[in-house]
Amino acid sequence: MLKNKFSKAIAPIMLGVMALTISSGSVFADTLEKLRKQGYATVAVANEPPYSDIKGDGYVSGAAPDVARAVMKKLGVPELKAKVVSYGSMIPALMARRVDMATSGLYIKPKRCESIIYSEPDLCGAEAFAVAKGNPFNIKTYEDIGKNPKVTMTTCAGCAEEAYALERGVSPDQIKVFTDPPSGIKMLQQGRVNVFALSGLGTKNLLEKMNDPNLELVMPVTGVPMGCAGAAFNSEDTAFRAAYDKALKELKESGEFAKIIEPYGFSTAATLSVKRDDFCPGN
Amino acid sequence: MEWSWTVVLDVMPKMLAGLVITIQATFIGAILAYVLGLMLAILKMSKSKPLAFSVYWSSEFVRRTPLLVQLYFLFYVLPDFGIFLEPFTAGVLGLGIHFSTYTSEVFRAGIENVPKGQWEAAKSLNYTPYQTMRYVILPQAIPPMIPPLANYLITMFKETPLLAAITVVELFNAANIYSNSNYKYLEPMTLVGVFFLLVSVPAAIAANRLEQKFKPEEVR
Repeated sequence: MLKNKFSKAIAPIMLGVMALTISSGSVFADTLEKLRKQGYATVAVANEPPYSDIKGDGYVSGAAPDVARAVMKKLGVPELKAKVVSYGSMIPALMARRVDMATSGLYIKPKRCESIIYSEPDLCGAEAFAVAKGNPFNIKTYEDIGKNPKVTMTTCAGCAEEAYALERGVSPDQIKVFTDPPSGIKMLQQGRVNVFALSGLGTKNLLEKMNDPNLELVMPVTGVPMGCAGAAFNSEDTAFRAAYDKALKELKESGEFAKIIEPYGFSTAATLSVKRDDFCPGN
Repeated sequence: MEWSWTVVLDVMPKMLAGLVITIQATFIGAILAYVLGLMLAILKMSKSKPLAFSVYWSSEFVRRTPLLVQLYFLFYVLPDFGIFLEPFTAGVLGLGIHFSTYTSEVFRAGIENVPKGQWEAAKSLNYTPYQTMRYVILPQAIPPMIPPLANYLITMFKETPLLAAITVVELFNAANIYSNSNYKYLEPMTLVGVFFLLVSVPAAIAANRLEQKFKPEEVR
């Protein structure tokens, strides 16, 4: 009797759960079709100008979202809605489908390719450091930081720069991850860290905004590869990615691509010289 | 999503180091909260009206604003005024000051609940204010305060992940940094929950016992 009551109570819930699972399964069958129907795509951005930049009114711009917007327009999705997600959380967000794409200059890295898929590269750039005026510890490369255990650096958790540092002999104790790039610069200004590491154009843009005469830019950082980013997708969305790649190629060939990225300081030639397979063969 | 014990083993040492920081921050913060709270309570009851008034309102100000904002202030704003605090120091100070405003209310209620006759008796014995507090009021006021103070200790323990915002690598942040670099959230975040439970459930039971022990006697 008791069991009966229990199953009566639980049955509608179970049915609801099953219905949800089934419907969600079919929604994900064709992501692009879903996006066309709803008229917008939700994209993850890190709010790191010039890669991605959220304006005061919520409009998302920056080189990566602008490229993505142009591509998505070709694919029949007129609008982008941005969610600010830290670099480290972008891949989990894609895997959990909290966002449809990540368009924020997420570098194409083999370890990331294990979990997600990328479009062809859209933005390439050198790396940079910000240091105190005169570069007191003479930091030019990640190896220089590794060699001097007194030097501390800040960068974002789970981003390419953290991996570059760890691979080049910087001890985890020397790295204090920041919550967002401006806080990282603040930590440098206050002397909590000696080096701020991020993408070249991102660092340059921050230093220009801060306009602090006591800080100095080290660019490019030698000994690390040029970072190339692409739009990132859930690994099941291969059809969506293929359509995106095709539209991106058209954009690059028509010259519209150069018109979008060059005002932000990115080099079209650098981007056109590389392919996704150079970073992640078979992704 | 599959549970991976390799991830658990990988992240465990980092999280244990984080747990040590969490516990240190809780206890140092709590000591600060208790000492400051008692001082605040006594100042709030001061006979000098302007003093009592200003202490009351500054403690209300701290109590009615979020701890997270206060931590950012201590960490990112104070250096602009030449006060430079290490992340851990700033975190402990933030926790201690924030919770002292709560504990001060516990102290104040406890002291006010000591019957008026006791104050008068101390006065008739010609005790100084210090002696009155030390020998008459506090010995009677403190036992009923212990259970709520213990509960604030547990609350503080659970608030420590906020210190992650000012780069303190405590239990939660240790797990978060690992998650950010390895894209694994299931195991580290589950472990954070388990660790917090492992500490806070026994602590809650202990607090419950204290409550039983110091239950006010029946009114005669």
